Amino acid sequence: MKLYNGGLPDWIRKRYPVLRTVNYPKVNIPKVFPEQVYKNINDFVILDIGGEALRRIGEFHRGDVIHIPLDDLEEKYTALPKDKKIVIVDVMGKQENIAGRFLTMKGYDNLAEMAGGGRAWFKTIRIIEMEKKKGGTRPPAEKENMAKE
Amino acid sequence: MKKNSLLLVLFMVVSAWMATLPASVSAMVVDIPTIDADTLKYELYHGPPMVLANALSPIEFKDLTIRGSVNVPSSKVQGNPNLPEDKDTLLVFFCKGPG
Repeated sequence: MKLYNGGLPDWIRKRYPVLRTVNYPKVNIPKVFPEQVYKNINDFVILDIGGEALRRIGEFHRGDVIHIPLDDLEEKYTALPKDKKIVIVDVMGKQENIAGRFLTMKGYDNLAEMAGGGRAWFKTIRIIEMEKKKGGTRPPAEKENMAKE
Repeated sequence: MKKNSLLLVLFMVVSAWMATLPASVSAMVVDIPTIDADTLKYELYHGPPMVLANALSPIEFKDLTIRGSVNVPSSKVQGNPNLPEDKDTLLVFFCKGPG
């Protein structure tokens, strides 16, 4: 067994042969920030496509969450509602767009991507809830900077 | 100075942990050989039969892949029918690369 570490980007850069079997629509799926989702949690369904890798970072305790790893989305997407805005979340936000393009092709048009992915979501939740416990009023970003200092 | 000491301790802990692994496992962790694009292209299109496995999801695989590759998503490796039955067949995995 060997690994081709350069992967698809390296292969494309060299203009070697590639194959596309499905043309997913090119769509601009809006990004929402974790704070927006947190404040309006009942307006969203969170679609967790991160699988085990995202579970290692944190667990979703808030909102309406549907867990379908990207590897299984093609088979299980019909479990998703069409009457609510779906926020797609992966680990770093890098695979959210392809999931959104797939869902658009399947007729889902009320989609959003979580800016920064699950990492940003869990970090934001921790900061907001820590602030709530302390009863502080300082904005999360400022609090975070202070922690670094 | 303190940082160097910490790195030294970390190195010793990792080395000790690696030493406790069975040889086959530690080999898997550190010793999977790599292949470059030019060699892979030659092996794939001109060499003996091999399997080039795209470890991304089926959706990403259909969006774009290397011509001649098959899909073996990273969460579905065990028992995957796209893997070669003959263990001597060259098997190469790839995904989206670093970063």
